[in-house]
Amino acid sequence: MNIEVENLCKKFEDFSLEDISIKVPKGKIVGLIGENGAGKTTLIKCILDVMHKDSGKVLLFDKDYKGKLKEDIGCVFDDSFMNQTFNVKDIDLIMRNIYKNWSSKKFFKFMKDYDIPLKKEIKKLSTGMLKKLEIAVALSHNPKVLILDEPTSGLDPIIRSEILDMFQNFVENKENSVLLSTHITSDLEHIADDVIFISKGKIIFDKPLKDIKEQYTVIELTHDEFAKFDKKAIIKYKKNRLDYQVLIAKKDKNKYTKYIKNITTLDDIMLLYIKGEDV
Amino acid sequence: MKGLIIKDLLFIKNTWKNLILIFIGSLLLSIALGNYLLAIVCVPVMLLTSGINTFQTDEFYNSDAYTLSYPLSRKEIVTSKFLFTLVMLGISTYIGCMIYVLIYFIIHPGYNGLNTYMLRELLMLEISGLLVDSIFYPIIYKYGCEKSRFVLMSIIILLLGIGSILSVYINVFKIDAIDWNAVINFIEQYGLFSLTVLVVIMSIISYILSLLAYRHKDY
Repeated sequence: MNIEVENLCKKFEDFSLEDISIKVPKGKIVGLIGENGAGKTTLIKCILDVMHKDSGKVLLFDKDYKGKLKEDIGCVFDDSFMNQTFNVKDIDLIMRNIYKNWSSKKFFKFMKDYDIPLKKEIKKLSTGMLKKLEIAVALSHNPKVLILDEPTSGLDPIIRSEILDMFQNFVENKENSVLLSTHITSDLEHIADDVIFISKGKIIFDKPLKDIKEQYTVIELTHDEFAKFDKKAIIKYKKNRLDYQVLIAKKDKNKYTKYIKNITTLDDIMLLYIKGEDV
Repeated sequence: MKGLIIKDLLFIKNTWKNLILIFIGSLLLSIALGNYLLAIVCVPVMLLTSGINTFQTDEFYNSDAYTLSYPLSRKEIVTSKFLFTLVMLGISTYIGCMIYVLIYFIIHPGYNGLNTYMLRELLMLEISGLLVDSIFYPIIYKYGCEKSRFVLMSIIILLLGIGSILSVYINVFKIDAIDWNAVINFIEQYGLFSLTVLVVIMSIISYILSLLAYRHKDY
């Protein structure tokens, strides 16, 4: 196991992460989804010891957490990077004195591939270029794990697709893994092996993506149809102005085929879990 | 640790244009005043207190969380900041001496106001700069840059207030047990040495307090 979190708790005045246990196995991409403020960033910061946990255990590469183990971890934060008055050459100079495995050759190849100018201050780079730079920095010290907090937010679909391809290539050796937090769940539909859904500091589910797709379906019912619908089959529902969105177990799918209007996405499931009501 | 020291040095390197402007300004002021002390000490003291600026920039660009993702312990991160300050002491002393030489041989050849007294003043001011750093660092580690200014100001104003109230009732200059002439003589003779000892002690305390503050800090 590359990352293992056991019963992690972190309390704030108005929010808490409660009893979080997750695993990031070798060779897998694990997606962390949830609404803004669900606790994704807090969990990532606790894993990296950027925040102190109140209780629980974090194991990296099956060992108790220690600073040096971060040598094998590449990080991208949503809102934190280096001093933006630096340029690419400065970053290379700093990083080769921080990471033992830093490869300037690999780093500059990324820069060439991404057309990132070497002498331009990073605050003058576009959002997409900056994000690519952050990912290149995370990859250039040959880590075994990538921990990424919203790495694709604010990026156009083409750049997002390129970046997601990089993550897929990264885990191809079956040893590396990726923990990817995002609220753009469509990113995960194509690349994630497992999905962890956090809401209000608690894990709602932690399942292989394949199972999620096999277990849940969202159907749409008119108000009359909803009134007559077998309520026992409903996991969650959301009342809209014109219809009801209803989350049901996929085993019941055949009974309700006529109500399936669209392919169920992670977004639909997440929305219904967060905003939906119990029967 | 070396990487973090280089990071801070690169930040200072990126401010070289401002430092040159400060030097030119202080030099012009010195020429007008007929005393070159300001030109000699201005840039070195600015450099020595630049550690505080590095905290500010890190806070401005929100890079503290990122720094904690490096394969370094919190102790190493704090130690690197203090080592950076020591490196800056060396660099600023070197630059101060270079300015001294520049003035003596090029700007004002044979100027007789330049002497060992002026170099002593340079050292005194540099050590005072270190004193400022050692007071600021643990407060910044604890409260961050924005809040630390207010924290420090409130402490200073509070101490001044207490001192002023006490001075109404106790006139220290009239206490027979204190020989003020001896105190002044001591400062004149051993001022630099005493200040150095004070700064060493303060820096050690500052380092320990910074470690304690940073150990519990969340970003």
